[in-house]
Amino acid sequence: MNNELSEYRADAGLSQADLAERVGVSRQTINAIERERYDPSLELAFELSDHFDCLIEDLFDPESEEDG
Amino acid sequence: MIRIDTASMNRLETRRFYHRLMGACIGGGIVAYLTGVLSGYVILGTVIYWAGFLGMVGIWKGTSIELYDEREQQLDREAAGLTLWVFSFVLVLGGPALFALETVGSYDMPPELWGAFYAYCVLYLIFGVIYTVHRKRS
Repeated sequence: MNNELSEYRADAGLSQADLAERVGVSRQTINAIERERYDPSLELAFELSDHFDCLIEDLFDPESEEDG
Repeated sequence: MIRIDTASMNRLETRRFYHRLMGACIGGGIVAYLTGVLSGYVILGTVIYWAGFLGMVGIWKGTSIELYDEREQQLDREAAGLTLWVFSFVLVLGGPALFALETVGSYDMPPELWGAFYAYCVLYLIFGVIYTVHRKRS
């Protein structure tokens, strides 16, 4: 699943560790999501979208991987 | 009683701290066991090793801190599932073959192999029971 997490994180001026601390996961998990090696649970996806005050669809795009 | 002040730590630091504490418990236990074996205090070494292991499990299960996040838990489940899957081939293919060889008299299974075979059967039996209980609950 494609995502814009690294862009949102960079715009907010946060490191992976900062974001990990704020949403309660490890830095490696944030890294794995950004590299699209791990798809987060709904709970974590909501947590991330809440944190960046955006919609889940703005952060995650399940369609684009197959389209590309 | 030792009180640990984790209030000044953030979540990641607290998690790291508990991981280190768990590592120290089991690591200390292993060192004590090896030292006991080498110095002739095997029983004492074993008791300390058990205490270290129980300490590690006690910290893991006793703390309210989530020590492993969802990705780490998923990795754990996948590794456990894959291990069971790989070893199921040993049971599914090897079990009947050993029985067949013994029945035709071309191979006598040593008692150790029977023991390993029954241990495998018990492992998969336990897996089946736990899986069924979880399926009924979910």
